[in-house]
Amino acid sequence: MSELILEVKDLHVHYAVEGAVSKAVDGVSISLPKGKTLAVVGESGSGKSQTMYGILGLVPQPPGKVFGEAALFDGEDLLRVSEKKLRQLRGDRIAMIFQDPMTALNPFLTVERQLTEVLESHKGISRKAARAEALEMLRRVGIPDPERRIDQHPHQFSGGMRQRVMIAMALLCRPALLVADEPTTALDVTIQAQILELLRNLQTELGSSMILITHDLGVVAGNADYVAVMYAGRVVERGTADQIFEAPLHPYTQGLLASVPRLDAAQKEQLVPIPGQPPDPTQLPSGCPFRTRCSKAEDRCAAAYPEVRRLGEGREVACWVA
Amino acid sequence: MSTDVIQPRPPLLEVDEPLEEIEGTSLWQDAWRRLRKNRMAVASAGILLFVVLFCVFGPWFVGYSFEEQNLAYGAQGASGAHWFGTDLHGRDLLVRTMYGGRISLLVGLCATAVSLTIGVSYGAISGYFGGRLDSMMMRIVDILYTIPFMFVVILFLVLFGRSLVMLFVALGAVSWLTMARIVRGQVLSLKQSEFIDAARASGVGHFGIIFRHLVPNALGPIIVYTTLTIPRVMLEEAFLSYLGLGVQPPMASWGLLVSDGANAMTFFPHMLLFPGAVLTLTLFALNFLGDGLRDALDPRMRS
Repeated sequence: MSELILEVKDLHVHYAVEGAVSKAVDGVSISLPKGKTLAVVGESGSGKSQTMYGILGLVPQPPGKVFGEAALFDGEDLLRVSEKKLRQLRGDRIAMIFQDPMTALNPFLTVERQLTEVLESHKGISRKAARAEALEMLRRVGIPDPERRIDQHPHQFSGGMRQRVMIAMALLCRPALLVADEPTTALDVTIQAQILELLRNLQTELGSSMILITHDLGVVAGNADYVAVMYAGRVVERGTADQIFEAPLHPYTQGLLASVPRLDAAQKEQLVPIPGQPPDPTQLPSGCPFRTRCSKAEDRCAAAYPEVRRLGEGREVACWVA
Repeated sequence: MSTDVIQPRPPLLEVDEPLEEIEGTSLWQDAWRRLRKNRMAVASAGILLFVVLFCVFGPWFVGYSFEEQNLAYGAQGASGAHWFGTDLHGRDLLVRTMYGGRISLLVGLCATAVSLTIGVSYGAISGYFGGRLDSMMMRIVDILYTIPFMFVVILFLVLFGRSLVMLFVALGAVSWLTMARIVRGQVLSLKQSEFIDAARASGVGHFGIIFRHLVPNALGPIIVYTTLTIPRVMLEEAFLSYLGLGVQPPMASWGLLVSDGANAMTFFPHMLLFPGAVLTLTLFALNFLGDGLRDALDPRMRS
């Protein structure tokens, strides 16, 4: 396997909530080869974003607590570097795109200031040079008339344009790893396609690796090389995108795929939803947390959490039955 | 390496109207332009400017000094010689109102400066870092709150001697407490915003986040509270002066003139009317200007 840009081993993110412990991330291991895209898929609250927040040191501690074996980014353990070092990495070598472009830009700052601030924090270049770079990046992400738009405030941009600004902000320092946290969820479908295409193009152009956090399997298909499916704070299945789409092993992955409309399906075929709700992370059921919603659950599923079975290079599943 | 990125479609409708309204400008230019459109705010700024000039340069043009007494003359209503009339000691009220304005405006300015620098930074730092530091910093504020204001001022004046400077220090020392609480509250809710996460994720340092991202977003309440602080400290100064701890006769402040006037209003209403009118005018102007500033500084308010 080629060199890994990110390798997370057994990461935990816990929150103290009114006396109980909420295990938002409960032993997650993921890895991503350089230049590739990993999609982290799961329902809301499955710990997708929290995994990334944990690695990047964005979890407020307390009430949060982040621990684990290691989170190696380019050979450096992010769980053990100083906060200062982590801040230098953020925005420079690892950048993040947020879900909602309507709230992720400061309404009081012009686009120029938001962009130059990132450059100033990391490159120590003059305001003028930073402005020139910001303009260049705005042009690259397809903002028309950037010379005029750069001096405007976020509220003068549409949702799609704001997301382009967010992308420009994230890519300014040409990060080695780009974390896109549901980058298209708040956008309508035509804009979604544009933004995804833009991300794909820029990723190839800059040679970045990308982690794409999403709950939309439609976004995963065609954009990701690898997929990690998360449920209740754990990775339940890992593999290449082809393996996950063509031969899903975990009943949860199968359920997710069955609930997505397909163009190649017969007309009358019904979508099958997964029954029930994800469990409360402060009160996870014993054994496999998915067993309460699983059609294939057996007695042993309640007894213990299934061992993670390794089926090949980067192919893993955590299920007793599969 | 391909450089083509998908271009958004051209707008369906070209608007002929010049797009001056959305021409990019800095926050301050922008705010200035919007402030100028607010007639009340412009009028208030004009009045304030006039009052400042009136107090600073006015005494040069009046042929009396603030301490020149004419006991035989006594309190007289407005006349050609004394536009605002005279007080019980026969001193010209116009020139005393001007001198009083210098003190009152200085007190207001000083308290504003302290509450804006110390109060805002203190509250923002406390709210941003949270946790134990926040508890500690806020308990300090609580403790300062519980110490009676008069006690602090008397202590200051006894320890360091009575002077105008000490009066400013004493008023400044208490004027930032509420501001710190207000800003902390704002920051506590603002720091949950996604744009703060985004700033942190792009590696912006604590200082940048506090003063570039959090404080500007709390400007509305800060300005409103500042416009409330100025009249309050002016009245506190009057109270102190009344007790003999602040400005001493023959010096004057608006507060002192108003309280003198209130004592004599049964027989000499002009002694309350003129200083009171100037004080009220100033406070109204400050409030309207504050409202205008708040609206002008919020980029989202632009219609």
